[in-house]
Amino acid sequence: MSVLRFPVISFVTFGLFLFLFAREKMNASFYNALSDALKEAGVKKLKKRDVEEIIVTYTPFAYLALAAAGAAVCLGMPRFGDSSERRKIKKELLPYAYIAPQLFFFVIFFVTPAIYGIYAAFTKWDLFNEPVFIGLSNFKTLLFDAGNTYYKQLRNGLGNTFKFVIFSVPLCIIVPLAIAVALQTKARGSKFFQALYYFPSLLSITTVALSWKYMFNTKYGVVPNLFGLKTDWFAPPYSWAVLVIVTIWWCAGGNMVIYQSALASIPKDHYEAAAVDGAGVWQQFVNITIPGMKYPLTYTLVMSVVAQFNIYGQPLMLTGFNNNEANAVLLMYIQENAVKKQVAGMSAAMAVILGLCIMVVSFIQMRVLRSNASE
Amino acid sequence: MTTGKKGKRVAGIFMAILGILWILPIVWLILSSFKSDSDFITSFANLKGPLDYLTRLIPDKWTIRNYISVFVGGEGANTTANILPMFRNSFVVSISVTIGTLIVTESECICLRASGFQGRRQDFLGADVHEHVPKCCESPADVPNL
Repeated sequence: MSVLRFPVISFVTFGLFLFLFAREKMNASFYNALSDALKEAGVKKLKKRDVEEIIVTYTPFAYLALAAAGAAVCLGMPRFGDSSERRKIKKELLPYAYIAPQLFFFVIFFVTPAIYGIYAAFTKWDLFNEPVFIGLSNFKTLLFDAGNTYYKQLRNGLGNTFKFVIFSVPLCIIVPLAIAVALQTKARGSKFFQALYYFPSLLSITTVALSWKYMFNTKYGVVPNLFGLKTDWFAPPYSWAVLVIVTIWWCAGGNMVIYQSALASIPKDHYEAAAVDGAGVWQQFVNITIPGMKYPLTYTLVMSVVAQFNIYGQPLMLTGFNNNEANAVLLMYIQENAVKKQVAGMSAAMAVILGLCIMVVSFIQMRVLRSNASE
Repeated sequence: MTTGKKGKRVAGIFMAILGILWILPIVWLILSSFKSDSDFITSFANLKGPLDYLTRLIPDKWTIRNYISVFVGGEGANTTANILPMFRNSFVVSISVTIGTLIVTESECICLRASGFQGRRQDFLGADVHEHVPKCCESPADVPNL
């Protein structure tokens, strides 16, 4: 019974949470929605829209039932069959009990919306009415119709996203690596600096973007006044520098922590042996540190590329659609088209293209880095 | 890495130079919260070098007016600003997210480390795939419920 304590507790917790959630829903005329949906479903032929509505409206009960079933299984199992049989069943089922919560949320909040999003890319949809299936027409417009607005948006947005990735990813690796190596020397005050470099990662993107927007303000900001560069820092050539600086400042801490733990795990005697053989600091770094950190470097490289492809907050808050949309990235167009202009099908197609780009790039990275690692 | 005296000094200088870039926005943020609105906006116009910048970081006239208006509402656009309900909401969300994440991920982690489970590889792949899909791929289906 003791091994089952954990899943039981988790299911009870989920049940409690979902029960409270259902109670909340009942207050907001939940019963009306339920009876309406039932009546409609009974009278008419069941359409896809109804099914969606039912799924949306009935989820609290579904959660509740699932939680109750899980709890019942966990509680009832010890009183089932003889003891060897029981042990065997328990052994086989236990892993599924452990992954059940994660799997549940993964399916509800990731797989279902993702599949629906991909389906939406092949439809004409204004968010309120039923999506109309139109095949590959969205992709044809986006990729080949040169005069179309969305064609231009995709080109501009994807180009800007790629530019940002190329500018920021190398610095996202090099700056935290340099910081981690410097911190590793245990120089005076390195604990303070460690805390300091990690601190911006705790702030939200809104705080970061707003404060840097003030600091780069042409008339009253610090940077233009200090260096005498009174140009518009949010116009094309400079705006890339601003975006990259803000991004590095904001997220250097995360990679830094990974590199620090990787550096600490490299054995000291390797360096001592190299020093005896007469290797300089740079040679030690290239021949011991870099190979010793192969896996963390691979991981952070892939993760940084994916994270920078998903850039959204910084250009939205710092540059927006100003300057002839010179810094508008693809996610801004996707959001704008889906929510404000309500051409959700088109923006879903854009999202699918961006997703394909990310997948191709990270696949190539994985292959190249893995083949390097196996040498 | 060999950490001789010279190496430590170079590392210290590097960290200090980078540290200035990291600490100035934070100091500016904290000190600016004690400035009046007009002082906050105009305090860095026509700077005469780094020393001038450091002196102007310090407020001309210290005021805690901003801190009061956060709780009771200030002038102009922020008359209804009150930080306490917002803080309560943040607390509720962050605490419940932490507990939920701990339960879900811890139980899955036990499973991933257990050697006998057949679905290990698939499960890890699923967790990994989540990171590789653009955020907006998921959002269109959620929008009607807003």
